[in-house]
Formats: sequence, C-alpha cells, structure tokens
Amino acid sequence: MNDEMVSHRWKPRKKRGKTFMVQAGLFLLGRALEAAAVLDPDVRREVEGWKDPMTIMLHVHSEGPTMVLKKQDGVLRYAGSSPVDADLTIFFKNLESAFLVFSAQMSSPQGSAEHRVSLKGDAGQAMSLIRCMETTQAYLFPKFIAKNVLKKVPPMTLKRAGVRAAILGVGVPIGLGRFAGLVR
Amino acid sequence: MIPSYYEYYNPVKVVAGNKAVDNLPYELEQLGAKRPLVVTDRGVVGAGLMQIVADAFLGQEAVLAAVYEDTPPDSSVEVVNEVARLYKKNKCDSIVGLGGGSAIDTAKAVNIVVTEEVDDLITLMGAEVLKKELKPFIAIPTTAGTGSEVTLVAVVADTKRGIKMPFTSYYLLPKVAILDPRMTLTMPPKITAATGMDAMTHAVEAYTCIQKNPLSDAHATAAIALIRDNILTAVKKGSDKAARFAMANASLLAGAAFSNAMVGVVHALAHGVGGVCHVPHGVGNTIFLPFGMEFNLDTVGDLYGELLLPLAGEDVYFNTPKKNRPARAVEAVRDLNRQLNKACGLPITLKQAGVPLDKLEDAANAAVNDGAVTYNPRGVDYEDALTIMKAAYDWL
Repeated sequence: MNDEMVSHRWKPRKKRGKTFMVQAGLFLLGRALEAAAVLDPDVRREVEGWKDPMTIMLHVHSEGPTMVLKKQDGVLRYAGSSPVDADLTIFFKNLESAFLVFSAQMSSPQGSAEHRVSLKGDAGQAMSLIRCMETTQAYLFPKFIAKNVLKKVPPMTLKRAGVRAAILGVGVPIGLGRFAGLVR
Repeated sequence: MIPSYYEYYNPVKVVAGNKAVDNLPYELEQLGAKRPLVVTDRGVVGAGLMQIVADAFLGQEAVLAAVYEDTPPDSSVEVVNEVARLYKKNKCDSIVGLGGGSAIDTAKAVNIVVTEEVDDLITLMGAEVLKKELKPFIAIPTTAGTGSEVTLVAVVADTKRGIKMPFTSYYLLPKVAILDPRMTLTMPPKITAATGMDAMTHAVEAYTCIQKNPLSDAHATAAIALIRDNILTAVKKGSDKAARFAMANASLLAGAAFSNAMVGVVHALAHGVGGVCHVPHGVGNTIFLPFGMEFNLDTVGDLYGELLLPLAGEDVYFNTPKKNRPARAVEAVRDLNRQLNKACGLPITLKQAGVPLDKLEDAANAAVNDGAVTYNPRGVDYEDALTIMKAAYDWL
C-alpha cells in the first residue's frame, strides 16, 4: 500500500475552556469539601469514619485534570492537582464526561449510571465520599441548579447560609482545614 | 422513554435446554481450555448435580482438573483467595461456576485473582478497574434467581467489616451460561421461592432505576411475566420441568436486565441485612421489594403502573384505572409474597427472617453505604433506610 493513501494530519483539537472549567470545578469542590468537613456536621461525621491517613483522587483519564484530597490526623485537606497513587480513585473516562458533571448538567449518580466514571478502591468508601460531595454541592450551587443535580436539596436555613458564606468566602480562597482545630 | 445516553453489554453465549450441561466440555474446548476448576458447594454435590457435570466429561479431551466443593452460602475474600491457590496448584486453565449466586460469584472473584496474579482479592476492589481478559469462565446456575450467569458483578463478603463488597467489570461476564432444567429440579421449595423473588426484584428494580434503557426494559418485563406464570408452580411442584426451565430463563433475563440497568434501594437494604444479620439475599429482596416500591412510588409511580401488566396480567391491568395502577402493582407483589409464604413458609417480614430488632441500625447504616443506593431513582439516607427496615420488621 502506498503511504500517500493515508493522511497524518488529524490531531485532536485542544479543549482549553473545558479543561480549565473541569480543573476549576475540581479545585472548587476540593476546597469546599475541605471546608465542609470542618463546618458541616454530616460531612464531618462521614470523614471521621474514613481511615486515617487516606488519599482520595478525582481524575480525568488518562492525563486530564486531577484533584487530590488527603485526610491526615483527622483533618481533610485539598492536596493539589498532581496525580498520585491514591487509596480511592474516581476516574472520569474522558473530559466531556467530567465536564457534564462539573458544569452541573449531570448529577454524580447519573454519571455513574451512564458508565462515565469508574472506581478504584472500596465502593462503600466511595459512597461516603459521594454523600459528602452531594452535601457540599448543596452549599455551592444555587437552588435552581442544585435541584437538577441532587436527589434531595435541603432547605437553606440561616445556619446553612452562614456555612455557605464561610465555605465560599474563606474555605475556597484559602482553605479551612488549617483552622480545623480552631473552628471545632 | 429512551434515555439520552446508555450502555448495554451482554456477550454471554446462552446454551439452554435439554441435556445442555453435556455441552460443557465442548464449550470449554471452544475457548481453548482443557483443565477447568469447578467451584461449587455441598448442596449441589449432595443433590447429585456435580455428578451430572462430571459425567459430561466422559470420552472428552477436557478433564476435570479440580473441584472445590465447599463454597459457603456467603462467600468471603478468604474463600476466594484459598480457591485461587487451588487453581494454581492444580494447573487449571479455566473456571466453571456451578451453583447459586455464591458459587458463581466466588468463581468470578477467583478468576480475578488468578488472572491478575495477586494473592489477595482486596487489592483489586473497584468498578471497571480490571484491564485484561480473564481466564475462560462458564457458569452453570443451579438456582433460578441470581442471574449471576449473565452479570458483570461478583459480590463477596468482607467478613472483617461485615459488609458485602461488589466487584464490577465487563470482564467478569462468563463466556457461556448453561441452563439445564436438570440443574434446578431438586431445589427445595423455600429456596425456589426466595431465588425466584430475587429475580423478580432484579427485574422490577432494573425497570425503575436510573440506568434503565430500552434493552434492559425488554428483558425485565419478559422476566416478570415468566415469574408471574411459573413461580408458584415451581414452588409447589418442583418436578415440573417446564416451570423450572421458565424460571431459569426468567432469572437469566432479569440478570441481563439488571447487569445493564443496575438495582436500587431494595438491593441496598437486602445487602444491609445480608451483611449484618446474614439474611439470605433472596429472602432480603423478597421482604423489601414491596416496601422499596412504596418508597419510590412518588418518583417512578408511572413505571410501576406499566409493570402492573407483566406483574398481574391483562385482566387486572385493563380493569385497573391508570391512576391506581402504581399502587396496585405494589399490592400484586405483596399478594405474591403472601402466597409464597403460605405455600412454603418463605419469610416475608424481617422478624420471620430472624433479624434481631437491635441490629436494624447497623443494617441501615450498611445499606446506605451500598452502591445500589446510587442508582435508585429517589435519594436514600440513613433515616429512610431505618424507616423502611422498621416498617418491614413485623408488618403482617
């Protein structure tokens, strides 16, 4: 066969916008989870049940955006965006699938139902993480978005509004894990 | 309604009918295997079913390299690791799962360990993490309920933590499923009833969970109608080959449905009482099915309304006003439970199943950590799980 009969000009197009959105979403979720583990009693209780130390990674296969969480000495911290060998890893199979979830077009359970994610590690632990993510998302999203991606949306009480303000105002920009001892 | 996106996969060759087990050596050879390890249990051996399988190897090139006869009802990581050692020691090249869910799931899990060449199954926990083709694996169910012969999941107990761990991977699907009416003829009435209701639960949940799709729906409704028409005959007259074979087919159909649509709150609750109180899986599903349906009624009531047709038949369906069909579907399941309870003593309350009242909290906690919760159409939290368990405790 003649080499001229095939072309070699096809390359995947960059998706800088979506990559940035997913990476930003992962960062937001990571810092928000770190803060919720301090401020929200349900998330705090769930995280207390996790083994210590423990590393969790959310990762877009195979070289996409990543978010690492580490629990150490009882404190959950956002630990950057470099892939690690984690105890529990949730993979998105591709960037588009991750984008659907991080742009709030699809809930995490629906993503799982559509085989858009895979899991390495303990399924029970992953369930606990997903519950924490859902509780955290309820703080992050306004109600009209939350009701599309969460099976249950808790009513926004004054106390919950305060927690939301702390997560968005302090937790996301600077991280609340370092103040865990003070806040508790 | 067709979902905006779905995946469906069922590559299992089905070999079904009269003397189907005698094709086992041929099917193994087609897969390039000659030395299978058979994973089975004492009940199967005692019922003479292993002998039927052994007889099939007469004059064949393939030989039975080893048979593991001691699979417990709730297989564990330790059992899997032990059987994997026997596989290597006996230089086996393939695996046959012969039995109910426990034996077939053990065989699947052993296949993971021997293919990935690890010493401990725990290191390979997860969903869709396996990366290579497993050893040739054939499943021969001796109960009609788990559908494990066409599912991508193996459930194995972690005895240290008292939970059931699911391993899911497309590689876990057997290459061949053999349905032979002889294999289920000796099943006692109570196990026939419990496993049959297990299949019913698979079908009902597959039809209503968030991963449902047109292909799984077709399998689910076909399974429900077969169970409706045959379960009581199979329980009351075990020697009825036609009813037995119909139930085996229903189980396979329901298995193919839920392997692609997944299951929800009923399974989560059954896994909870299974892990904490050792309630057999089929019994747990039997007890929780009507309660799980009631729990989901406001979310997917229209789907239960559609299921009234396969559940109760044309007369009941057409004589029930549309708005009453969802609740009538729940009642149809409850009626069937009562009839099975009367026919063979199948437990239909947690109390009858011997669950201690003080274990409900632990079981509810295990239930909400079960992956099936993810696929339920309505969110399930600890309080929901505990409320259903209390309602199912002694409702008669």
